Amino acid sequence: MRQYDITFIEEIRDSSGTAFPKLCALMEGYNCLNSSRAGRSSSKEQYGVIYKKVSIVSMKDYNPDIQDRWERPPFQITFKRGNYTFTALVEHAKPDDAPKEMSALNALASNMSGNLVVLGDLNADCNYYTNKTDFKGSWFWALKTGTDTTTGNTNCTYDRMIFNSDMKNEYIASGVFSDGINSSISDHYLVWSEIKTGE
Amino acid sequence: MERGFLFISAILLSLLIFGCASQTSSVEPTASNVNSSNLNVSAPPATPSIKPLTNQTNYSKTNVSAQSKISNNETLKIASWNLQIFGEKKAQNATLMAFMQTPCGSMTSHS
Repeated sequence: MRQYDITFIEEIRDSSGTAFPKLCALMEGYNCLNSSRAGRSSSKEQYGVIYKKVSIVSMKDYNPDIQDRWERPPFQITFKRGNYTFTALVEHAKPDDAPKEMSALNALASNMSGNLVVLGDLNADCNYYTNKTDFKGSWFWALKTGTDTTTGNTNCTYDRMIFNSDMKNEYIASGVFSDGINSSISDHYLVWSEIKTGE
Repeated sequence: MERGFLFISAILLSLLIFGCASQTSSVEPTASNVNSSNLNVSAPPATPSIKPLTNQTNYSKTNVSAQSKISNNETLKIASWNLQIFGEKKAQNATLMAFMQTPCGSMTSHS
């Protein structure tokens, strides 16, 4: 994670609230923040953000969601670096509800302006999300469908980074970091994108 | 005679140390010669500082769709990672935690 300026962590499942701070303590030079615990069952998850080089302008936690649109409602953070400002919307979609949750995420994101990236384990591929009816048109999907983002035998692109038309202009590159990641660490690889922000 | 032996031993020892150091630097890239090394820290750490375990390494085995020709000072690298049930159990695994903070392709033990 030291290779990245901002890392969004999904599936922090820790009732003690100690695991993420422990990880943050190892990340010298970074700041951290996390969302509230979300989930319909007793099993709750949080999002974590580990960041440097940027400052936080604002954040919004969509949990609890009165409309109950997502199992784990998205976490929205607006970052600033120099004169460049962008917003990230991270979500961990419930696999079986991926089409419904993606649709709700699309509706939410489409009403937002400025530079925006929607990212996370969206379960947005293969059997969970076959039709891909959301984030069409000017949206840019950085990781192409067929890119393997998990340690399993499939070649599914469950983890996504989707840029709106504004932020697409700053996009440089994206990829999957898989080296050394096996099921004992996580069933997902790390996905990344690089953007140009200017100084 | 004895002085001569000590002198030759000192030279051989120097050569041995220099040779090892050179070999190590070629295997483990230093922070100054890798693509992602420009890690200027502008914000103070929010948590107690702990020294990083290893140097940065390069992006191996990544599917890069375009190559950056822009200075790292002008770019941001954004990552997303589902850490699958990241809780107390994983946080207590020092080896795992070391990998998570520096996923460089090799597990580094941390006591």
